[in-house]
Amino acid sequence: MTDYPSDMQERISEYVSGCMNPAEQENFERELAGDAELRREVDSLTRVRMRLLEDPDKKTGRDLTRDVLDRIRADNARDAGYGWLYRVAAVLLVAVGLVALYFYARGPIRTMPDCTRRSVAPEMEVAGISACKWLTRNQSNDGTWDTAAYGGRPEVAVGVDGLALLALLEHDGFREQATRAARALLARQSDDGCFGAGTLASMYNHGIASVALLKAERKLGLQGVSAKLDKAVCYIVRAQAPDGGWGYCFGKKTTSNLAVTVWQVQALKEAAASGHIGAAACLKRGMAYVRSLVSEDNHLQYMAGDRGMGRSSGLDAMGAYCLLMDMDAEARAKGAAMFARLVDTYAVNSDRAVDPYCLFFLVRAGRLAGLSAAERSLNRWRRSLADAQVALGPDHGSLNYWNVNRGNVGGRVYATAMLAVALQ
Amino acid sequence: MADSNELDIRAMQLAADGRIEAFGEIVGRHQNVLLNFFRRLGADTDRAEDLVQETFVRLYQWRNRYRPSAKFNTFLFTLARHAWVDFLRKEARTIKVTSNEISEDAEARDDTSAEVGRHLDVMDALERLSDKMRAVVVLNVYHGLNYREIGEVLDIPEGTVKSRMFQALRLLRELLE
Repeated sequence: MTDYPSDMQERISEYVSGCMNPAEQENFERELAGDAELRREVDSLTRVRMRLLEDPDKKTGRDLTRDVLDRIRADNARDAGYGWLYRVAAVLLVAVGLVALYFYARGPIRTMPDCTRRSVAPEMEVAGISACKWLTRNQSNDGTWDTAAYGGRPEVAVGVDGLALLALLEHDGFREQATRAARALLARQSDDGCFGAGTLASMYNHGIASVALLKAERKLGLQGVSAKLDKAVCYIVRAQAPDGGWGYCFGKKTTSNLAVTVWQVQALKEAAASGHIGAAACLKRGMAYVRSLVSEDNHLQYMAGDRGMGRSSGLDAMGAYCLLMDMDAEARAKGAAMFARLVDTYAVNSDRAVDPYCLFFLVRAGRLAGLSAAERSLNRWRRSLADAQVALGPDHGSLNYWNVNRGNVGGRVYATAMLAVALQ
Repeated sequence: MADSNELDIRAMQLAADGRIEAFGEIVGRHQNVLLNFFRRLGADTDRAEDLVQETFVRLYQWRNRYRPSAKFNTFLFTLARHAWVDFLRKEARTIKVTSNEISEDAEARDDTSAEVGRHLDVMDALERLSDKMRAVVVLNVYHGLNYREIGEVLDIPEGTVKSRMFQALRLLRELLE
């Protein structure tokens, strides 16, 4: 392992974290082009950094706001010489605690079951449209969204724009804005066919943008984009790793993982459905890769050998969706069982928060599984998301990204787009 | 359109005027961010929640002196970092992170090789970094602070932040791959 001098260590850190200005980046990339060992070092550290981002955020077990404010009020009261008030408050708190204990001992409060619906409840549709309106209010004139200005990271901007386009396509009434978003994404395609090239998560960006544009072509009747989309599909084919999966970046040395692969598989499926360039063999290998990640007890691993992530509902939701798209009957049965288990898990833990990214895949898996019993659960999860929607102020209709898994990466545009998609 | 930073600054001003509910908005906005910050530094969930509360109480004590010369987040993480350091001192380094952390010197780095080949998840790997390295990684990777801002939070030069990041990523590579 090369021992780099401290100034080179600093430059590598800056580059890997995307903190260089364009001129510095250009210089550094020129050095990388002429130094294979340095290139390997930078690539491997970039992969490590991306792996770290896959550790999911957790939420507080309860809202701490009241605890904090009570503590502050108690401190204030004590500071003001009202120690007696503090003691009275303490007595009251104990009384409230005893009352709560009484109700707890009586058993959980049962809520009335949701009415059975076979489609999205009307209020959910309204909430979805409200999310789309936030997206269109904050769309730039050129059709893009300024991801970084809304708490996201610039390196995922193309993927986030793809998700916003998907959201607009899911709801009626946003045709003009969706067309502008699609044109803007197409304009960002590089010569090799990639959307979002040169970023640390280029395959994420490319997969999401490809799915959104292939849908947009079909739904909006976009003309003259066929060759560009064929090129995008070819890029996915070329980027496939020998094991059949896809990793964060283009290249045979990249480590495949489920999270990136699921978007490429969707894109290839969408391309096949809309009569684009055939990639059947590539898709078949991609599906086989997903099947290889299924554990004996029917959970999805993040990557071969389960390095890094462990189990999560999000991975199972992605996996269930992929398996249900598979041509292989055994794989579809596994996908259906996985989906049913996810529904049961959330039905038993009805207060468990569903993150919109997970719900995105659950909704799609539910459509393929055709399980009518899941509709009620899906609507309840949608409702829990809609309840978190900002109701007032300039950001009404959006979803606060700091409460959402991956919100620290995609920001408010990402969170709101996922909300809009999940509510359809 | 007000971004999160402006909303926080406005809420701090309102809190300074005695509007404690406005301070509640800050808590609501940042409690999960801080929970994950402490969790990734090595606290278990209960301790992390205590530390989140402690940080907000300290923040409230700053309401009259706070001046928005830097990003609100940078200031918040500075207070959180102080709360964490105080916690480590108070606990007399009994939490498990410090018992098996990897020090930055070469001798200790040799011990790291024993971990290589074993499958570690991201949290396990982070726990095996020294406290100093872990703070840099957590602030940059999970909270999006740039190197200058991390230097302010940790009160160290920017160049040191970058070197620590490089060393940390190399150690993590050994542990994860």
